[in-house]
Amino acid sequence: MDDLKGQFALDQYIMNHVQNAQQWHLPFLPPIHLPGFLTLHGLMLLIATGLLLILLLRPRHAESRIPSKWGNALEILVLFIRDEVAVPCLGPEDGKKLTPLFCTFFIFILFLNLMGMIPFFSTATANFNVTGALALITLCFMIFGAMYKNGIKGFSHALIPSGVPVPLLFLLVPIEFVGLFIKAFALMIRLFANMLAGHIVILALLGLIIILGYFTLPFMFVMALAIYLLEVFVAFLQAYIFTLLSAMFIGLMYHPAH
Amino acid sequence: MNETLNVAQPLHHPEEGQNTLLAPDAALLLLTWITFFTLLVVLYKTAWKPILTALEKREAMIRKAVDNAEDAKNQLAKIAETRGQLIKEADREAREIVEASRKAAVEAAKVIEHKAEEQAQIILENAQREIKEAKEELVADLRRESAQVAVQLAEKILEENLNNEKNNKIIDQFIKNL
Repeated sequence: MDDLKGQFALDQYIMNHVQNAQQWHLPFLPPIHLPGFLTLHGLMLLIATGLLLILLLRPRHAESRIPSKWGNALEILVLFIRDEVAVPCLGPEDGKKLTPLFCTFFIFILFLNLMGMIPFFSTATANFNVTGALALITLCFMIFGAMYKNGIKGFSHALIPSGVPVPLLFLLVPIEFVGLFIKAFALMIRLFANMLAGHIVILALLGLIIILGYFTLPFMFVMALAIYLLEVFVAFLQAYIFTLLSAMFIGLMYHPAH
Repeated sequence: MNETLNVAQPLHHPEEGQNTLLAPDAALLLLTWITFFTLLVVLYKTAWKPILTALEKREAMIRKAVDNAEDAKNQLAKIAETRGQLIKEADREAREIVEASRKAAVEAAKVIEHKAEEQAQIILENAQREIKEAKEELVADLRRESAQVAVQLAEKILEENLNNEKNNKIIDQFIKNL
């Protein structure tokens, strides 16, 4: 048992599975080496994009009043994002305008999350570069979108709360300003950590089979399966939370409290 | 078991030991933006926009249909009200007609009764008058006859043939005095 532990480094095994790589391992095939600029997570992004384009670009019968099954599912998604996420956070006008952005956020993150649940695929959203890029988009809307909508003066109203004594402003304005970036940073870390943690737990449980011996296999398998199912739920949940919080943060900047 | 693992690991992960979990990767960041904005633009044109437009169209249609249904309901209620009023009015009119005809019938009956009474009265009066006249005539006849009988009787008794003309005068005088 001891020498087993020595030879099998569980932490390395887990890290190697969750971190980005330069090659893609498919069963019964030699590893596919990726060109320099493209990493495994980058490949996952491309696959997800391709998949989404194939699925969503299918000819739709827009003229027909009764949508097809797939169109119906998409409609439910769009309706949900519009009525439960965008409009409550941004008001009817901006909410309707930004609904496509949140729909794209949701479906893109959801696909990336779910792709990580497929064996031999990797979770791109468990890479903080990806989640950071997505959070930066939200940050851009929070800053530049709000500036475009309200003007520089209107934007400054969001940072400078009215009715506060001037000396306090020296404290509050920097906090509000830093808060912008903290919000985006939290978005990045939340998605990244959630997607990473689930995989680490599953891999740890499976790795324990090797460390503790194969007699633990049924127990660990059931545990890993349970975590896996939880992860599928988390994949949906985190996609939703990222979308909802993005909408909320952008809404806070678009309509600063008076 | 261990051998397979040991063999598999280097093959699996050549950069083993190198922790890249928190390594910044500008290429990946850029790729994320590229893929995201590609999706955003393409899906906006082909999926989100048509779906949102269709949804709004359908919502407008449903709103209109609901309004129309409300209108139809209101109209129906109005029609039902009018119908009820019409029925009530017709009922009232019918009652009035029946009442009027009953009154007319009663009046007509009264008139008929009255006429009949009058006629009966006339008939009765006529009859009474006729009876009276007949009786008077009869009485006159009787007087005349009884006078003649008395005269004849007196003639027989007196055995004296008197002038018939004189007799008549006496009789008339007698009747007058009667």
